[in-house]
This record gives sequence, C-alpha cells and structure tokens, in this order.
Amino acid sequence: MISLDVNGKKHLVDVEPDTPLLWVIREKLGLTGTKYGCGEGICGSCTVLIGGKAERSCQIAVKDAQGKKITTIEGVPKNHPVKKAWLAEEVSQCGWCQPGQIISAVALLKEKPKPTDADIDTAMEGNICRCGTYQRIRYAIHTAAATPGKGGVR
Amino acid sequence: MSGIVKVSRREFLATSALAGGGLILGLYLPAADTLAATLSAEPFKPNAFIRVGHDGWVTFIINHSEMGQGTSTALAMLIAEELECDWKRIRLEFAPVDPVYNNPAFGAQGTGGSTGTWTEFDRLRTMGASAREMLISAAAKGWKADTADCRAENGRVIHKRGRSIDYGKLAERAAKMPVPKEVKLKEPGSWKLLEKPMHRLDSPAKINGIAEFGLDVQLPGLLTVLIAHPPVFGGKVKSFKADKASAVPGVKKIVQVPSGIAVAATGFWAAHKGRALLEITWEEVEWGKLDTTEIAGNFAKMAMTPGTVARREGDPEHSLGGAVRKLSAEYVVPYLAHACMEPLNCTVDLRKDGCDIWVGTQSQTQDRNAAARVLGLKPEQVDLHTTFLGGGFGRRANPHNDFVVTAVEVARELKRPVKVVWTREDDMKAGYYRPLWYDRISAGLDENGNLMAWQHTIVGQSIMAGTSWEPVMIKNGIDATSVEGAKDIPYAIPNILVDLHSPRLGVPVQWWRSVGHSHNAFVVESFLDEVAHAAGKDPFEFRAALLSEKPRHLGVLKMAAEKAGWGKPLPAGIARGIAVHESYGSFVANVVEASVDSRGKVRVHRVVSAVDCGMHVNPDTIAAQMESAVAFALSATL
Repeated sequence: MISLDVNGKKHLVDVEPDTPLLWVIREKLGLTGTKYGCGEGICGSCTVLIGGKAERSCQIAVKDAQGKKITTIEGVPKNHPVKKAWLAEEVSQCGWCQPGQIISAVALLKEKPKPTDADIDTAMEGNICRCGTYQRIRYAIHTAAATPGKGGVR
Repeated sequence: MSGIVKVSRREFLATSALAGGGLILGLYLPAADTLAATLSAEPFKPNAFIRVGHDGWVTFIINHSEMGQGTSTALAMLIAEELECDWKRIRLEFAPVDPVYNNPAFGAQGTGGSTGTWTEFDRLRTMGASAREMLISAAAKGWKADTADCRAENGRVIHKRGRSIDYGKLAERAAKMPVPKEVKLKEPGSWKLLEKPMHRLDSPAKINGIAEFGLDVQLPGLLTVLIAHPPVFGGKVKSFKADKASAVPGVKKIVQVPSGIAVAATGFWAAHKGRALLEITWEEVEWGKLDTTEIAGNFAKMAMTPGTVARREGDPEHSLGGAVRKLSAEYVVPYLAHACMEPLNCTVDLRKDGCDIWVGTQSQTQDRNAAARVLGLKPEQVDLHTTFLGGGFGRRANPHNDFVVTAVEVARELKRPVKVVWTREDDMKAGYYRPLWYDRISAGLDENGNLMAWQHTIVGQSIMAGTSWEPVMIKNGIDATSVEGAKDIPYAIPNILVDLHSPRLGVPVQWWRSVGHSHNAFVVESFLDEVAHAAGKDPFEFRAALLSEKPRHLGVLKMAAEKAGWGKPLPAGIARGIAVHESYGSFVANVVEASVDSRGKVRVHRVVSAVDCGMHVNPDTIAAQMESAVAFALSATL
C-alpha cells in the first residue's frame, strides 16, 4: 500500500510502486482532471503541484510521491485568481491541456507574483496547446497577477 | 440555487431516466461552475433539442461535437435567443445518434467542414421560437389572457399588466399546447445574444477538471487496452509470443485483433509495460521499404508530366511559352499528424443484446454503423455516447472509423468493458495524416509585369479515394479536396491550368484542419509573392489589382493591410508578408511580421488577421478560432 496526500486528503492505494503518479491520480483516485498527453514529460498536460512546484505527474513513480503534498486541478479553488482569469479571458478551447496550463500558471505566480512576458514564456513553454491558446494564456496570467488573492477582473 | 445537489454522472443518468426524461444518452455538461444538476423532471419536451424542467432549467441537446471550436455555446445561443430562457439556467447534453440530429450538410450526424453554425442557424432558432410560443400559450391559458398580451423574457412569461410566471411552473402545461405550425423569428436588431461576445458554457467544467472526455470515461470492471500496431502501415502479425507480457502484474488478457496485438490490463501502466514485452513477428508488406524521401522524389517526377485537368482557362501553355518573364517553383509539404492533445481512445461495453460506446468523435452515425457492422448488430442496438473531444482537427472523423472499429473488435474478443487507448506514439506513428503534397507551379508575365499565365500541377494522395465519400467528392478523376483553394484561385489571370496527379500509396491519409486549403493556400500565396517580386510590385498592391472583381477577398486584404500598418517602417531585420484566402465561405487575410536569425531560424513577431465570415454568432469564438488557426498553421510551416 502506498500513502498519498492529494488535495489535502490522505489516500491509501494498492498499486505497483513504479506506476507513474498520473495513472494513480486518474485511475485509482478518479481525479481525471489531470490529463495524459505524451507520457514523456514533454507536453505538460499531466502537470500537478508537488510541494507547491509544477511537476509532470507522468514522470514521477508513485512511490516517490509518498509523503508529499500533491495538488491537482480539482484541488485548486474555483475562485483562485488564475481560474477566474482563465474564465475572464476565455482561454479554453478543447480544454485538454488547460488543467496543466493552470497548474503551471499557479506555480509561476507563487514564485513570481508579477511576471513579465518573458517570465511567462519561460515558465509555460513546457505546456503545449494544440488549439493555440498561448496568447490568451499570457493575458490570463497577467490578469491574475494584477489581483493576487482577490480574484481576476471580469 | 435551491434544489441543486451534487450528483455523479451515473446518478444523473439514472435520475434523469426515472424523472421521465427518457434515458439521457448524452453527456451532462454543467453550465454553472459546479457539477450540479437539478433533480426535477423535465416535462416539457417540445422537440429533440429542448427540454424544460419544473425548476426552470432548460436542457439543450447539442448535435455537433465540441472539440474546442465553441460550437456548443454557439448552438445554445441560437436556441436561447428565441426561447428567451435564462442564460444562467442552461444545461447542455451531447445528442444520441438519431436522424433528427443529422448534420443537414452531410445527411449523417457529424461535425466538420465548417458546417456547424450555418447549417443550424435557422433550425435551432425555429426550435427555440416554437418552444417559446408554447410556453406563452400555456401562460395565457392559465391567466385566461390573450397571447398577444404576453411576452417571454429571461425564463419567464410576462403579461403586459405585470404578472409573470417562471418557465418551470409552465413546463407541465406547455407540454399540452399544440406545436405552432409557423413561428416568426426575431429581427436581427432585437437580438440579445447573437453577435454578442458570450462566455463559453463549457469553460467552467474544463478549467475545473470535471469536463468528461473520452479518456476520462470509467465503468465498473473496465480494462484498459493498448494495441501493438504494425511498424509498417497495413502490416499484419505473422506470429507473436506473449509469455513475458502476460507475466506483468495487472495484465489480464492478450489477444490478436485485425489491427495488431491487444494487451488488456487493469490500468494504463500495466498495459503499457505488457505491450513493451510482446515479441511479435510481422509479415512483410508491399509498402515496407517505402520512405518519404522516395515518395517526394516520385512525386517530383510526376509533377513534370501533365495530370488530370481540374481547370483550364484561355491557352495557358501558349501564353506561358510566350511570356516575357517566366518563373517556376516547386513546393513540398510533408505528411502531418493531427496530434490532438487527447490521444485517440474509445470505450466499449458490449453485451449480448447491444453495445454502448463512449467516444470523442466527429462522425457519430458512421462510427455507430461501422461498429454495428463489425458486431453483427443492428445500428439501433448500438448506443454511441459522444464525450468532449480533446481536439479533433478532422482526425476524429475517420472515414474508416479506425479507432472505433478497433475498440469493438477488442470488446468482441474480451467480452468485458474495454477502453482502447492510443499512446502519443501510436497517435503519431499509426496514421492517419494530411497527405504529403508536391506542387509545381509556373507563371508568365508580360512586358508590363502583368500576370498572364498560371500553371499549377498538384501531386498527392486523394483523401477521398476508397471512402464512402468517393462518389460525391471525386468527379472525372479529380478529388475536389485535393484542388480546393488552387482550382478556384480568385485572381484575374487570363490563362490558367490546374492539374492533378493522385497516386495511390499505402500511407493512410485523411482530412486535416481546413483540408485542401491548408496546403493549397500555402503554395498559391507563397508563389504569388514570388511573382509580385519578379514583377517588381508590392505584394499587397499586386494582389489588390488582381482582386478588383472579388470584393470580399479585397475587403479583408485591405483591412489586414491597414490594421497592420502596411508600408510603414519596421525595426531592422523584421519584414512583412501578406496573404489572402477563402475557404468554406470565410475570407481571411493575414499580415505577418517575421525575422530570420543568422542560423536561419524564423521568428514570427506579430500576425494581424482580418476575417469576413459573413453572419456571425459568437464573435469571441471567432477571434479564438483565428488565433487558433494562426498557431496551427505556424506549427505546420515553421
């Protein structure tokens, strides 16, 4: 049995210890907001927060995630400034990559509350969006940054 | 909201069935920012697209696939504009397969070819208006009032003397009202929603991670299946050993299916590990040694020979031969994967008497029918449930129904619920692709730099050959999609020849976002720039002069140029380019500002787009689609 702390809740899961965290989150915990896109840590769809940092859950064996605080898209509050900004700027298209994008943006703003365009591009370049929502992602991060903790402007 | 409880999807389905709404086969999509549903019955079902509940919430049945293009919001706007319902109390469900939900342009249920909004524009508004009139009649009857004294607004019927009643309270009685034979649609000037930038109804579910895509479907006892696809297109298994793969904990069964070897396991990771340990010997196949360099080489030779004529105007050969200035260029664009962010997948629950399929598809009727054919069932015994699509771009409307057929073949072997998943590598390596195209194009100028002759030879596989679309789309040896955007170039050129070679090869090809236009616009507009340069003319002015009879092309061309500041100085090292094209009734011009660094790397600094798509519904979605199209195009060209 492996013990996980996901979105503030403790879970005991019976899985092979080398299973990527991604598949445990999706299949065992039923939190399907964390997406599979490549399985190689290239596309960013599976991004979760581990100890506040954006990590690729497809690249972390579940045994190595024990004892760490994991936050998935479902654990980011609905009124979080980043989520509010995502709605205000109407970022989503197909939506598959957006949970990973949002998690990366949350981590970025924690580290740099007032990021420049270059900061955003650097932090977000590992999150691929086939619909091409990059421009609105940039807007949304700026929108979120303008009102930290207070919600985005709508 | 009172009366709202959190329910799981399964509970919602069960509840809805009990509530007399009929079994809801579509996906429940919350319009609010919680996965919440009223548990009230929906007694008023005026037509196949609308249900009204006791609580005043309305459910719209969405018959086009939502893959990011915003169709679910646009279609909801069409209904809501006439229904006069409360925009904050709307639920969306994806339609089951039924002829009533057919795409009017296809005669089958499906999404593609930029047909969603315009084909539904009148139908859905009429559905909304008809339901509204029934609600008004019900209210008037209850009040013993004249319907002419009643109007509908924001989910209520209001009498001119001030009393009003919520749609929910009217639902039961409205169901007993006669369906109006004719309804009057609102004049554009009185629209409240249409042509206004509306927030998407699917965004809250998507950003909170609760929108259900195909890959997110879970069923009791579900096995996850990965297929070992052949290393060469069309390859067949000669023999295989599964001892090592079977020993992986979690691997339940390994079976051969027509498309390869299927490894079924309790989860993705076990199936993935098992698949890697398979020992498979593949048959040699006809196309085994072919590579893209050889294909392009063969196509280049073909491009030097006359093809099947798609268009001939004037005397192009003679005119080209006699030109004062003649120039030619060759263009080759590679096979391209659609690379949807959500890898392909399909979930099947096959029972003796029927089958349920959950899939993010653009091609409901054909996928359902193909599954029935493979299983020996009647089409109506197969219930296909459309989920959200994590990207489509044409790939999820496969003319051979590949990802659905494979999944039902696996289900037939395993006799338990299966979710067949393509890994990213499968998605890229196992087809289908936009074809590789080889274009040879020549132009002739007269002594004043006027474009007198245009000769364009196109070489590439037909995406329609061998599909059910072939009889419609291939006429006189010309696949209309191979030459769209090239045959119909808008420029006033007196002598034109466009011809086509459609070699047959074993590489699986399929439509890709914007289909023939994606490569033909690139080739035509790139070459036209070469011609303008050779003529010593400004590329904007050169185009504008050739488009004097094409007001919509000219309109977007001028607007893009104006907004981009065409002709104004740019920083050193940055240059501008301009292009214009029409596809599927929309006219678009782009001005691109780009630079090339010392290593030849192209960087795009700014793109200014002008679009004339005629009547529009949600302008913010159109802006989003233009942004999306620019990014998609850059992914193919840089």
